[in-house]
Amino acid sequence: MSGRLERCYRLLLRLYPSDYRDKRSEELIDTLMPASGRFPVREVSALVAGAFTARALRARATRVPWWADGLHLGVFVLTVFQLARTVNPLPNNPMWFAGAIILTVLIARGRVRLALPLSLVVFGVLPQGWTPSIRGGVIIVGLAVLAIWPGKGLAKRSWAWLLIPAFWALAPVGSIGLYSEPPWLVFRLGVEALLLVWAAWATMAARDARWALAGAIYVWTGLALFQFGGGDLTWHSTRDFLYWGGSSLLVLVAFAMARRSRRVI
Amino acid sequence: MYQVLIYSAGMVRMTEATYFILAALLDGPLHGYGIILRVGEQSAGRTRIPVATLYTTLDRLEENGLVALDREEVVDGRPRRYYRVTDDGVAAVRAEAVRLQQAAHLVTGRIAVMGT
Repeated sequence: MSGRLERCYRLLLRLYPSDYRDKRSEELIDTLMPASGRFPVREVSALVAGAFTARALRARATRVPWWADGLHLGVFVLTVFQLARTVNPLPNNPMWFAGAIILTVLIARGRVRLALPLSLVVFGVLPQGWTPSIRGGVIIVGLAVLAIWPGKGLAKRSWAWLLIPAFWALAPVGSIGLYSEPPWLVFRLGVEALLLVWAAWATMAARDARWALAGAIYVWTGLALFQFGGGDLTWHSTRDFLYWGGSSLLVLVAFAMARRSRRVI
Repeated sequence: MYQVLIYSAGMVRMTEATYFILAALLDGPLHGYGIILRVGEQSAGRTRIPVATLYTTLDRLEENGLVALDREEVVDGRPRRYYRVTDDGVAAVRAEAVRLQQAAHLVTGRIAVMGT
């Protein structure tokens, strides 16, 4: 029993960042084994939550200030979703599409000074049928702020983010919107809700607002598009208002958690 | 740092886990499982801190200078770290105890006056 339990704990410890595991895993096992009862459900759930907290704290441990990290993440998420919108159907200009992919990769690697001029080309020379959007403007301005910022060491974002445009490419329709068929609608709402809840939880765990800022950039840029790009407000349905209201509420909750958790030790 | 926060702003609150961990360390350095046992004793079994929560809290307390690593031993091939409360930690848990005492007095004092 104890051997199986220890194996189970060691498996769960793999959720922690590797440097944390190197420092703490044996000590955690040494404490977990005598402390565990017959059905250690609380210990297991606390380990999962602890792993998430350790990952959030690790992101905070860099020298990059919270606003720069949050701005970088927000601009990156906007770029990922912008790329996702271009993959289905593929644009008729392969050079432009290649530029959009390179731009996403450069931002993912934290190379904002290289990404800024490319973003001017990508969003300045749009393929036929495309119109300039607020999203492109926010990405350019965000990159400009990060390029001017004298600090170094922006985080390298996970390649897993590219799964979003990859899944988007599988959709049978031109885009995954609020009025798509249920499986694709659920996919989009699920991904966005997961990311926003994750942002709120990480904000609470790490006790700073970088994830809340990234969420705000993503949600409120979309909201600005909804407000200024969709014509008369009376055209919008209850579903639109519920979607934007719910998203904005999650962002506000994340900011409130950042403010509240700073005052709790 | 903690004292500055608590006395100048008067806004910092302490979680139950933090309070009991600091209280457990007042009698001397303890390792992780020792802290869990002491918290259980001191709270008459009402508070049981999961191990991962204990270490997350210890990390935070170390970062804020309220707890420090005292020493490390190796037992059965595994490191066993002992933690101690710092002077700032003692000040913080004392301030929280006073706050709780005042809050409790609001009720207990009134009940005593009412004679119930």
